[in-house]
Amino acid sequence: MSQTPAYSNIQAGSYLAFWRTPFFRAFLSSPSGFLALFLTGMLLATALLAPLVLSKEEVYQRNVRRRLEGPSADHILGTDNLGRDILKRTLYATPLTLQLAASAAGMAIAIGFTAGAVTAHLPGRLRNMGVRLIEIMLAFPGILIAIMLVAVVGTSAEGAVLAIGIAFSPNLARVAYTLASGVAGLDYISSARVLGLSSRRIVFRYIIPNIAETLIVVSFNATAAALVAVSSLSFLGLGVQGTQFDWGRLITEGVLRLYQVPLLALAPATAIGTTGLTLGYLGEALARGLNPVLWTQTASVQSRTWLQRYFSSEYMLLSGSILLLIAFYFLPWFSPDASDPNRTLVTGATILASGNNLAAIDSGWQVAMLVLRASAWVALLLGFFSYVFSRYRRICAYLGLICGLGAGSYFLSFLVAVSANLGTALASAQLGFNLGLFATILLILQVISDKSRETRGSHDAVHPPSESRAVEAGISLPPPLLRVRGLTVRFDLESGIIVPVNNINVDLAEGEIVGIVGESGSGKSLTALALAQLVPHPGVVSADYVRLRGEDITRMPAGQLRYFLGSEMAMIFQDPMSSLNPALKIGTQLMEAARVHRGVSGVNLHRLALERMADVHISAAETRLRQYPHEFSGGMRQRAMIAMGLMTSPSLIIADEPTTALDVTIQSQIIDVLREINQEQGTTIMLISHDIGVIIEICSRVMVMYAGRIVEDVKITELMTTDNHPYTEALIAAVPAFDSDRDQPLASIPGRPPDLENLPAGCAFAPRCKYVFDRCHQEAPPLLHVDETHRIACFLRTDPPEEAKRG
Amino acid sequence: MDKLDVRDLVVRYGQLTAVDGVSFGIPPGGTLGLVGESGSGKSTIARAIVQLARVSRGRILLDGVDITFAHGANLNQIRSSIQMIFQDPYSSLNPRLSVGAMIDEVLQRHRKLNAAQRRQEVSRLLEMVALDPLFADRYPHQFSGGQRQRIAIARTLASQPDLVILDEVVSALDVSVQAEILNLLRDLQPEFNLAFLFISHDLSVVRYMSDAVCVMYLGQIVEWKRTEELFRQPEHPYTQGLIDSIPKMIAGGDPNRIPLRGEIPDPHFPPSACRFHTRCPFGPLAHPERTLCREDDPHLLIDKSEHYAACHFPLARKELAAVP
Repeated sequence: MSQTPAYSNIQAGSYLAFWRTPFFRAFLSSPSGFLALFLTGMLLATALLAPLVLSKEEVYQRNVRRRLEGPSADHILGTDNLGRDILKRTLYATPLTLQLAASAAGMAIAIGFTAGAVTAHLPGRLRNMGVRLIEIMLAFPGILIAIMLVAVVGTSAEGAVLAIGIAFSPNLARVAYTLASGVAGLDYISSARVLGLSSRRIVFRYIIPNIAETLIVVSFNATAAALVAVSSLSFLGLGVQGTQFDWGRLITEGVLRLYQVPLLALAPATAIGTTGLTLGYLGEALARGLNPVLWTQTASVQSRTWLQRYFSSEYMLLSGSILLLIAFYFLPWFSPDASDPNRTLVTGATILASGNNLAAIDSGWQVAMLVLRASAWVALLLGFFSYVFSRYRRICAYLGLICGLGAGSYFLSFLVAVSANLGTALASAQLGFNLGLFATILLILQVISDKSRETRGSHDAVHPPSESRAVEAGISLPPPLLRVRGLTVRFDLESGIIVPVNNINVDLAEGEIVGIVGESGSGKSLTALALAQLVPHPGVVSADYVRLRGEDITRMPAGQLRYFLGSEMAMIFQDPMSSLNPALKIGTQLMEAARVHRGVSGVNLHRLALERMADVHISAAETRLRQYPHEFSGGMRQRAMIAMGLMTSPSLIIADEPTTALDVTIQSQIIDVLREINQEQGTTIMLISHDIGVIIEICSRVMVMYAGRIVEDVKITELMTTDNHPYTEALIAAVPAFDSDRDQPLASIPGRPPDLENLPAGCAFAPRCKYVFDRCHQEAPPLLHVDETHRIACFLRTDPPEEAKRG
Repeated sequence: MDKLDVRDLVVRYGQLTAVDGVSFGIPPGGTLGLVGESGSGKSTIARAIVQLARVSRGRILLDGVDITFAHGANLNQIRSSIQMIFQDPYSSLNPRLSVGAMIDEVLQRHRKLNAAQRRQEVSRLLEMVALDPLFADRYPHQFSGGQRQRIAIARTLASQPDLVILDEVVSALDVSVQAEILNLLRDLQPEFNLAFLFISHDLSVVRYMSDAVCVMYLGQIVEWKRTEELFRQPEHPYTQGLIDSIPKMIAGGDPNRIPLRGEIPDPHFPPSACRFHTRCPFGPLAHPERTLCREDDPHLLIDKSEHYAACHFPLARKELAAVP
């Protein structure tokens, strides 16, 4: 019997405890998962226990003498106009409300998803009709249709459910249709068909799992919407009838007395809000649980406890501040005024409700409440702000934490002061101040440690020995067009710091065409983006200097930089369709830059645009200028992009894989255009490509990048004739040449492209290098001149070991 | 008898004729290359063969049996013997299935094996494409592009096909990885006696992989030849243009090349007669006396002998001057 392959541990079903399954780990991978779990638990417990614990008398028994009371020890949230307990009634309504919302949503989901999926699989014309029908129904607001339907089927709880189930289904049908038809066209569905898998299998294993995430989120949102809709109908008197009541009906009772007893409406409203939030969080967490990408990612982040993850995320602020608000408004505390004979329970809401009549409430208490309320709001706003603007997340998180801790400590110390009978606001304030100070110091310490971690990491990774010095010691040429020293791009990720561009030193002479070549992940595109100051967040660009025409663009104020780069530098990207604005005519886009940066206008501007179109060989330029990008073919769009770049007569064009998305025939045309521009207008071009063949064809010099560093910088004419970096050699050999022997296997580069998160010590290419020797594993080779125009970062070439010299 | 025989295939999408009367054959264990610009109809042919696109006219024969409109049990049989590997390894693997599960379901479908045998077979297939059998547990997002393409190959082999359609399988990969995948495919071919239909826009890759090459332009085959001859002596000006477009690793570019002008015309409105005459550097654009190109459609003769170019004036480059 041969040994069982290891993968059987999932296939054959090992018995993982539920909380250790990948599903549940992914479910809890974000703090919102914990929140969802907690809130759902509370909600279900309430729904199940309320009818058991609370007797019917308790919620129906009238007691007119105690009507419309504020919160007290007997009635925590006060009483309604018939003297019934608000909290108990609200809790008692939970199961009925949830039942109605769930049935309505279930019906809408069943109708909607089925209709959508069926429509997606109808043949051509029928499908169009189906989609139109759905869209027409979507044009009417769901709640309006629901009201209309209720009028038809009769006002009752069942009627409301039916009406909402039908009225909300077009929305879901549209979503299901879009998802199903989107997935059906994908390659893996095609490949499943070719593999001969049955339709049932394709639906259940290929289509549904891949749209499940969205469907789940949409379903739970629909349930929340149905909850609101059912409550609305009940509120309008079109839903639950007779003695039954749900949250919507409770609100109806409360709204009439909103200014007398606000809690009467606020309590059921909060219940609806909290339930909606719960459904949202639950849907999100369930969807995450079903995503296998997270099953494995959570494993790699396991080194951090969920508490650490929780505290490093914006959810802490959001949930914390929400809890703080709930605590403030609804949790009862004893009034600290011990002299009061009727020591009653007060809540934040009571204070709000009692308006200026605060005689019964100790002033210290009042101040504490105000501070608490204010800081809870600030924390909530900051949490929201940090959630929306992730760039300022850290600052917001710190500010929010300070607010929250300050408020919390103030409140705590107040309680301490009260219970110790110190009784003075002063003592409490002092204690609060001390605690706040303590928290602030902690925070500052954390910030400092964060910073030191960053700098330590970057120190290890960023500065290879003596590279800069080697370059500085090199031959001094006349000041080049572009001179870059120490260009570095760093990403600070959850899993650690990566440096995809590492201390790049480049000189570009006027009128040169320089190529940058490397595999994916070598950092070539990021280098270009860093030069144009376009590195996406959270990348951090640093450099000793980047001088374009002698001006250091790293030290330029933002306004000036934009103007300077706009006129001196042009960028051409791989995908011309996504870099042209589909809503503007080509002509408009062409002329815009020249108008802004060169101040050209009117007839001159138009003539300039025509000239540039001619430069890139677009015929019928007059007509072409009036067309939109979608009317251009891929090659034409790339020409238009180049023409656009030329409009400001830049001194440097950076072209990032400009021909990769194009056919070889069009590629050679675009290369010719670039070459012509360089020859006729003297524009310097930096061409980035993964294809060394293209580079050799057009460039005068090439820089080879590997794992974020330049490993070789050599003239094209020397490329084939001198000793190269082993990586360069391998790159050239891997291109299937036209005169190669077809019977020999192609030369490939063994091993995998570098993993930036786990770079080996020493030379990054060493694990794949066929000439590797001991020293390569120990230190990183600096980029050194082997002759005037040739730089190599390889010990074999710059400082060969003895045996290599002899051999 | 050829493994695959395609006769006068026509595929229409509404008004658009994507493939217009194409015929070719692939012998068992042989490789036919299919090249052309995007929009030439190469991928449509692939999709028609595996019944992902509807054939409008013509016949597709597998081992001499007509499979053009196969269905039911027949289709299932064909599914196991014709397989296809797609261009983008990032979209052709179901992200929700582990590698083991996706190979396993093909085994379940096409092979009569019990669970233990299937597990063993999954390991064997992964080893065959030089992947660690332990990878069976993992999901596609954990792999690089090259590894994903290896997984796709392993999954394909699971059904024991004898014809595999390779649709631009390396064009999304880095050069170094591309070489590894091509070598792997060439190693596997004799081992399983696989016939390949190798579709690519890159002639240098096609040259390495194929025994014979069909060059396509606007839904038609314009030249069909054995690989060595095609590259030594291309006859159709379009083939010459494609060859010239490829970077030749010569600094400054090949000075003798004759660049192709313009772009492939809108296939909704193909040019009359010879479809290439609007771009041909040897046709009426350069030689006004060659009106024949505008008037008469040159045909590719199919009769199992040497090779063919659908051109009224096959190239003898030295004698003719192209458009300056």
